[in-house]
Amino acid sequence: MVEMIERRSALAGLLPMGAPARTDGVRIEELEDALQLQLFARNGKSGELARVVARFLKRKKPLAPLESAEQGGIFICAVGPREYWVLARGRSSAKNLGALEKVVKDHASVFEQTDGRFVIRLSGPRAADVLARGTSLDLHDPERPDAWGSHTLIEHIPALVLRHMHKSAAVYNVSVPRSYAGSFVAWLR
Amino acid sequence: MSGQSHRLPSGGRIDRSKTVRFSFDGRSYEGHPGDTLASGLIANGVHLTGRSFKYHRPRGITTSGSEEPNALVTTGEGGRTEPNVPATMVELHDGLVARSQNRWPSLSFDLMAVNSLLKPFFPAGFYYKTFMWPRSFWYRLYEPAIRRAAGLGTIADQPDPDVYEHSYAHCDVLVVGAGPAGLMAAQAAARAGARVVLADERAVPGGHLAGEAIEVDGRDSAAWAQGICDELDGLENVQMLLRTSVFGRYDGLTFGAVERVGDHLGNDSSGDLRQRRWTIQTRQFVCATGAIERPLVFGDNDRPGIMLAGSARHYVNQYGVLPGRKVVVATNNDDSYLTARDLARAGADVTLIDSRREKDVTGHALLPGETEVRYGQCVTQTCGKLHVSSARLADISEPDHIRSELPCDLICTSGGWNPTIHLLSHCGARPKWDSAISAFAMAKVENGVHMVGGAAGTFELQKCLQEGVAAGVAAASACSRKARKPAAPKTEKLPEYRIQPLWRLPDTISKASASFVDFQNDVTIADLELADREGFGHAEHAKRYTTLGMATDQGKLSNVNAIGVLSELRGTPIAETGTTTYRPLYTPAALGTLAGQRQGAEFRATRHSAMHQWHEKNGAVFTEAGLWLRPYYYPREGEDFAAAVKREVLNARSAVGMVDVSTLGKIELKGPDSGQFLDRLYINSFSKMKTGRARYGVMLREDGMVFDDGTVTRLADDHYFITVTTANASGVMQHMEFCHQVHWPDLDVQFCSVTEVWAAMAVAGPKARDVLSRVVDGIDLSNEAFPLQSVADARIGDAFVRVLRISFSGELAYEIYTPADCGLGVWEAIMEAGAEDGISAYGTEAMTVMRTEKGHVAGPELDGRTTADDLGLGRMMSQRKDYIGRWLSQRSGLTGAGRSQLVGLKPITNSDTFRMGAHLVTEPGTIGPDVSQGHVTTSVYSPACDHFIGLALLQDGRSRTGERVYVASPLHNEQVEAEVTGPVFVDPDGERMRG
Repeated sequence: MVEMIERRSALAGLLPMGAPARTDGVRIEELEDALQLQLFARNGKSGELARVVARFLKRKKPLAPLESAEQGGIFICAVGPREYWVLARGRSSAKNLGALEKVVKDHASVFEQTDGRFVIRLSGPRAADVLARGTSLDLHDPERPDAWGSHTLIEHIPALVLRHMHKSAAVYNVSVPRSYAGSFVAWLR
Repeated sequence: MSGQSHRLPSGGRIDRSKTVRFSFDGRSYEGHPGDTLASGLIANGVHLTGRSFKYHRPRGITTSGSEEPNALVTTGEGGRTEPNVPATMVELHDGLVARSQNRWPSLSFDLMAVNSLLKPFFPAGFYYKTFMWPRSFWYRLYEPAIRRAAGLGTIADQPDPDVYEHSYAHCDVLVVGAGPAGLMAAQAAARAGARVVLADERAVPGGHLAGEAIEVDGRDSAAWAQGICDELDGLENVQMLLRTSVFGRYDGLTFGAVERVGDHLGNDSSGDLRQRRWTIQTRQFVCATGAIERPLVFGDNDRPGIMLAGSARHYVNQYGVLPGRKVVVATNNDDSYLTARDLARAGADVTLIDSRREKDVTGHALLPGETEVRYGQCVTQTCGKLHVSSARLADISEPDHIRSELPCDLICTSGGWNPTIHLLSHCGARPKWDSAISAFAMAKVENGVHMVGGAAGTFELQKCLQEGVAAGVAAASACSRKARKPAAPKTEKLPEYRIQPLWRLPDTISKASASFVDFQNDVTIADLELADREGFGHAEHAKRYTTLGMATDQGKLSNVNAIGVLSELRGTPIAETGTTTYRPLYTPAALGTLAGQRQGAEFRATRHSAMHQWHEKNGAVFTEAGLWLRPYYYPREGEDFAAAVKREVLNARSAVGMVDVSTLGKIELKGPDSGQFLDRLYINSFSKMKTGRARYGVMLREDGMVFDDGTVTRLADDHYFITVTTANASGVMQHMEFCHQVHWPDLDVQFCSVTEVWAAMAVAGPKARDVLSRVVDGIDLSNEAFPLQSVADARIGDAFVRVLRISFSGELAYEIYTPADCGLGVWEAIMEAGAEDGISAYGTEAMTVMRTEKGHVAGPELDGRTTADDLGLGRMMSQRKDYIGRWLSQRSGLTGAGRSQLVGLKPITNSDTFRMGAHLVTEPGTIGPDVSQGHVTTSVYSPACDHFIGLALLQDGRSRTGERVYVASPLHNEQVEAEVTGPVFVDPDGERMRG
């Protein structure tokens, strides 16, 4: 019997990709330990789910559309009507993730997406400029909250962009279906 | 300054401390940073820059902007060759290489200029009337010859080594044009806190102020513009896009633009970014695009040395070059008096010819005392060979009578100014004739659009500045920014702009010499007269008849003059003569810029499965399935396609094979109503299927035709997992969303795509169980414990796997699903475990062969025209429940006799082959839509049968087993006799897959 099966990221062999001149001022890294869940509210439970999620995030108000917030290493974004995207990192977040699943289980169906998508983090002063080469999202919209997320296309590749602030600087986590890894990295180059 | 014979000793906004070297037609010249190719050529006394499109007449530099119709050159070498570039927009850099176009053997001696002598034979639309006989010559001779002669430059014959990219920008206020009005608008909006994008096609800000010698706010106009620009550049809420041509306006307030990032740097290493295409989305649009001067139309008005008046002073003031020393300024408006003043100040001997009466003129005061002015006169014709040498003058009241001939080396001409309204026209706005400025202008604009300055028909500088401020404040306010209205800066007093249109001179002059209306397409007044005579006098008709305004300059100089001429010819007001519609692109863009990064292998995104690396390593030849790349077959040394596929099939049938099926669409459903939801989607039932079981399912469209098929697996009472076809995965997902959101929002079911989450592989063959038993931990794979259609969770090593016992190949088979990150590891583990049984991978072609041998339908049969019954799946259609497509599938047309039904085909002679798409007929030698009784949907060589087999859709096919038909492909002149069989060729009782 086989004992160990190697887990292999979609970006294996593609990153790091060096530092092309046009991405100066941008730090690009893969979040190899990213865990991702999709939550869909059960019929008639979207209000309750919003409140449960807000309580989990220790917020007074539910998340506004496309707003995102973080608690205990877990980012939750209201990416669509009755739909939330959850991004957590590593084993330290696994326990909190379990707690989240427990509190939402009566109000939502939970779908595991971790293996289906890789997450690339872009940070640095020119991170938004790099993203703007591919996505039509307004990355500097002053009317958006500090932390937000949105499904989009990046150079025709489906992606979910999740932004949050870290030390007053914008950080973008981009979740992309794993089959597009080669094309996405080619675009990033 | 050696060789720069026309460079002024001082002045201009160039960097005289540095020299750049460039070449034109192989000859080296010198210029300065800040020069364009046009100013550099003029500085060196080069006025002849090209030959015209049709008649090969000598042409020179006419303008100083992107509207240039004559000085079109080819720049660069090798893969960087770019034809038809206006010399006026090329920034000089060291090593720039430029060549003239459309001449042979040389620019000064062009044999094709013989066309000019043949002009009477080449009137407008000549190709509509000639070359009609003999008819067959059109395709063989005339059209190829005309095509060879057409066009100006020649495109590169090597790959473009440069890099292009796309980018998006969003703003509150987009200001197009960094002239006086645009700068004021951007400054006012930016100071109010609005997010501003300011774009201008030129390298320096200021618009036409960059080429003026006037004062704004007590400073030199260009320095003032640069000061505003510097302020804006320092603001975080402003994005400056100089060297950026906004080429089109699209839905809403979305704009396309091209930024020339590296053109002016002269980089010659590959990989440098050359141009960036912007998509700009704005909330408010300030159109400050300025105005374009139009020429006067007179005899031989196209000679080198004839230039627009505004451009001539631009060359003097911005570039410090004097285009001519003996100058005639021919005009009908007051703006040209600035030109006469500036050229005279620069040392030229200027004579001003104004077609108006003296009392209508406001610009006298600008002129130096020694400047000669002749009122009420006009230039009727010019002389010269490769350069203008004199102008013939006549009284405007007697234009047929030449009063004098003035020697000159430069004629500056101005017929007035046209507001640049292209970006509004792109979205359908129709301009109106404004007789006060004798030009078309936008009388009304929609909300969110602000017209200012020259674009709005305002030609007085002070008013332009005021309009800019007002528009900036209004635009910012519309974006909820609190804006104070600052005072516009003061300018020096300039004469009021007045004009008296002069569209054309009498027929005698236009007949004696060519009076060009459209320089780029060689359209003359005589051509317009012909168009009008033949009933094509409306502006839109004349455009198409003569090709006026159709070249890369889009008629920027010619359209209004043509409408004025047509108006006179028809005797109708200009407003009734019609206008043409400007369309994107405002200026040409390189194809590379439009493509951006989507070139070569990255022309479109490709999708790879988790095992792609293994397939590559093992020599797979790939095929496209949507965006996916799937292994088609795995040739071994010495094998061709047929041999590889045969080996793969035989191995799976006799031992064990494995195929990557990760590309199947996968959807997970949760919620208490999941089963009911699936019952309504599929023709068969799933709500009562036991947990841990899987079943084949078929979906119909609303119209009763088959939509998709796949397997449905029940993982828990309220949890299902379905697979759908690779190509239709997103379509099924959309269908499910529509059904849930529109038809049955009351059902408590949630679902999402998990295609990417799972890697999947099918292990098939008589030894499949033996192989998997060596690696799968946690389930008993024996037939008794795990029969066909079973599902169970297990492990391979430490990886989770879900095992489904289902078969597409007809063999004992299992589908293994594992989290995608484990896909490659699990695949390799199975390969290793199967080595002793001779396991090999097989591709999609072997899969097609095996499913055809088993009579399983796939894409070619699910072509949108077949019902479940046509495909032999009628018994699956539940009579006890409702589902999408049920009622329409019972229409008489879908159930009566004559339907095409799925059958098998085998050739009567084993060695015969037939093609997919071939028709089925009953009589040999006949073919046609009326005799075809069906067609072949799939044809493959079957190793099990050792001959070709096929699936086909044949009228009433199921009742025709044993009948002989002819499989005909008239396109290939093929006809084969075949026997109609049942669709299953191998193991009709299914013993193998149940084994």
